[in-house]
Amino acid sequence: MNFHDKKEIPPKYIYLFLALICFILLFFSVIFESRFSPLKAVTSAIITPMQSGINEVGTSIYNRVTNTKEKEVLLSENKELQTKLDEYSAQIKVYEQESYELNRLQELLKLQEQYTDFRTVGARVIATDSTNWFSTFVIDKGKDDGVQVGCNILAGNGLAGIVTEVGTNYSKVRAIIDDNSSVSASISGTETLCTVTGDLSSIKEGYINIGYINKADTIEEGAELVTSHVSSKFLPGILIGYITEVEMDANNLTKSAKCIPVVDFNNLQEVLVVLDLKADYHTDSVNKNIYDNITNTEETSENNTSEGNSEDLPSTEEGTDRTEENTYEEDTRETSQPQEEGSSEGGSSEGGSSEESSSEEGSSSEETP
Amino acid sequence: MKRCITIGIIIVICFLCQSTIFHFFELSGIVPNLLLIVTMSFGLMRGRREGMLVGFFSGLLNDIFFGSVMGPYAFIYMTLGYVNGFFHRIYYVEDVLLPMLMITLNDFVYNIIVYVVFFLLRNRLNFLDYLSTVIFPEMLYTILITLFFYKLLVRINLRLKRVKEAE
Repeated sequence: MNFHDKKEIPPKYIYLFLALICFILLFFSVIFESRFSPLKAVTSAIITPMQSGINEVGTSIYNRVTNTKEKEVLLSENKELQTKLDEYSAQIKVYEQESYELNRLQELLKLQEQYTDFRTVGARVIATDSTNWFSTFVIDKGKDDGVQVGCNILAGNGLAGIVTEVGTNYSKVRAIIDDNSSVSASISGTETLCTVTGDLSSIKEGYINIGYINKADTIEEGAELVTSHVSSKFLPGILIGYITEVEMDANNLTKSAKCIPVVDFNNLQEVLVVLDLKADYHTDSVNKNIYDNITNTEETSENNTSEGNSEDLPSTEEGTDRTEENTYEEDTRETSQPQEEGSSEGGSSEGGSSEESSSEEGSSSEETP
Repeated sequence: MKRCITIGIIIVICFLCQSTIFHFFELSGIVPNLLLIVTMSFGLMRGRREGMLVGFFSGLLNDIFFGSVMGPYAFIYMTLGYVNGFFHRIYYVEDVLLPMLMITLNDFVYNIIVYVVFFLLRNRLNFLDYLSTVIFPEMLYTILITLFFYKLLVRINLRLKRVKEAE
């Protein structure tokens, strides 16, 4: 290709032509999302193996370097952990007894077990977003391994992200710290709902933002934040992080807080893909209903939410179609929703049906004294 | 043809490095923008036409892999490559100052565009914060890498030219 030999076409026409192509691509990729999958498949078939190869070499070198450096740190940490372990094993004894009691009571109530085991598959992170603005990454498992759009990604014992795009041998994951991400969460042990949004400027300081907490709820710092049961995309009860700094919003209706994620996103190498989708996960929301009925008779509104949720749950295909759109829906909602309406917790993260969020708004307004 | 393949390989290698191993050498969570260096260098060394094409394909690769839609990065990179091509007139091989100046400007403009398109339009208004946490570190890191990488690209370019003349 000798560009200088072909003097016929001046560069500005080529520029205009390519610019036109860009806009056509932009236009078509928004409208016909699926049409571009062959192009993506071809490029990823070439690039993905190279990425995983390079990454493997890089990881092994990196690990070797850090291994020697961190040995002393680890030794001291080990001692510390050992003492903690003893502490915890004593605690476990107490919990075992309690869970035995719980089982017995659940049997009495004819409830199924609340947390069934998820089917999972391990995956390796092979590439991270090449710009510095977003926190998406690519893993080396795809359609062939049963991964679907909307699968939750765990790392360690916490939530890392959600699959937004699936190829045959790779899938793209949006981390919960990504600027576009927002997750409906609840504070462990309470029924308080809130929304966890990733923010580029705050993750640089090591935390993600929690918003739309009902001002009536008292929250302790250090409380566990888990994914909520009303989310349409995230499975319930997965640990997200720990709450720090709670403060009242300027609108005096909601509170916001900071959350330190349990997953170390700087050093993500292996992750766990949960193959079960929330859309197929009916049992829990039903159980939750009965459970709520019995424990808090006052919070009847809560039931409506979960009931609506289980009814609204789409079939798998519908779910996958929706998740891609959700990214944009989330955004528009976030901006369009004025702060005064802050009481609609979790609304932006659901991104799904409007009925869901509206019923939720109802619930929070009832809860407000 | 040889030239085309070589440049293609350079783009792919840079993309791979940027998305994989450079994350092990990141400084305060920032990776340098290698693709921009390639786009800038070829724009300077070879003129508008080639800078534009290199930029287009670099951006397209980024779009395919990490973009939610196709096109925006391709357009940004292509425009930068095209604009850099105008400076081909005052380029000469030994000059180091011009490429340094260009990459600084390029990276700044690139990041401003990304900020406006993907962040400002979503009501993320604390620009100074992004400036200090993302834009400046990336500029510094990219300039640092350019010091070494640009020389390599110049050498590759000269080699390709020589091969072409020999034919």
